Amino acid sequence: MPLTLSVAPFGLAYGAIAGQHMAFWQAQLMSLTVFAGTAQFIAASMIAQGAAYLPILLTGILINMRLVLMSAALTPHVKGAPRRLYPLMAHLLADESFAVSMAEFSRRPADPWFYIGSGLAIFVPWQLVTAAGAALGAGLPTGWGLEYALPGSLICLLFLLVRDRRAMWVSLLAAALSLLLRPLVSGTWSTMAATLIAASLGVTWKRWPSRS
Amino acid sequence: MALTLLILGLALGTYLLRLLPLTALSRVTLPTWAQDWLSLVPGAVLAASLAQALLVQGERLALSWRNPYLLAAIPAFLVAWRTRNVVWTMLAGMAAYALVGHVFP
Repeated sequence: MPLTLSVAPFGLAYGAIAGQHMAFWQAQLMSLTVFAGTAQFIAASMIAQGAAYLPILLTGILINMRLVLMSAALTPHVKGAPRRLYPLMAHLLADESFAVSMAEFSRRPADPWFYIGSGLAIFVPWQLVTAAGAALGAGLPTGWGLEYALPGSLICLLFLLVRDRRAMWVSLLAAALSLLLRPLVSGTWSTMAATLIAASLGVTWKRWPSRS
Repeated sequence: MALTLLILGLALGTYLLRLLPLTALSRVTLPTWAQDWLSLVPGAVLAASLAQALLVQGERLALSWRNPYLLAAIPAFLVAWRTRNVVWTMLAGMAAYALVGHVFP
């Protein structure tokens, strides 16, 4: 199933990074309980950079706030499901399971079990590949450029996430602001402050009709 | 211990973000600008985080061309652009970083 294969590179990369900076079981606990690739990446990278825990927590939640939109969009399609499945359905919500299910429900009658199946098709392999990545990350000797596992993966994730010109400018602005704000805002709060400012400016940019 | 609590806190927050619209708040709709804002957040966080990872070395800004993190970013960007694959990009960056470490010890 291509859906299942698509998570493999991310899971390996997350595991390799997390495995260097926390215990194996903690890296895996995060995969099991947080189950959100980008937030897990950022949390692991902020831990690697020695950030305080409060900004890590808030930044992770900020990244995951888009799950509210996905959850709200999914709700009308799974209304027929028994209530006891709701806690499970909530936890299986991910970018991939959401995209596949919404595509399916636009063509065929909504079926909660299709959604649950697509969620499990992501959840189970995600656990396996992150565990494999963590084992690799902890096992590689130093001097193999392992310090670069994190920046390297961030570079690729950025390429995958930034799809239009506006998103590119917002990202560049966030990067520049996070460096400029560093002396003013203590430590890793600068990432969050830069994100809030850049995303807000990005929203106003869309309102100017001549740009896109 | 503190790290475990952080992980569980992030898990709880994330779970509520997934669960609440499905159960309690199913009739709430966010305005377009808020949806738009949320869509821009992950890219901005990634970029800010990357800037810190590449350009801040030991609490100092390192804008020199001999910064090995910056040099290794060039092949990593090229591989990311061509392959869009995280593992290849990561390996290219690691190889370049290890190589730069040998050239400029």
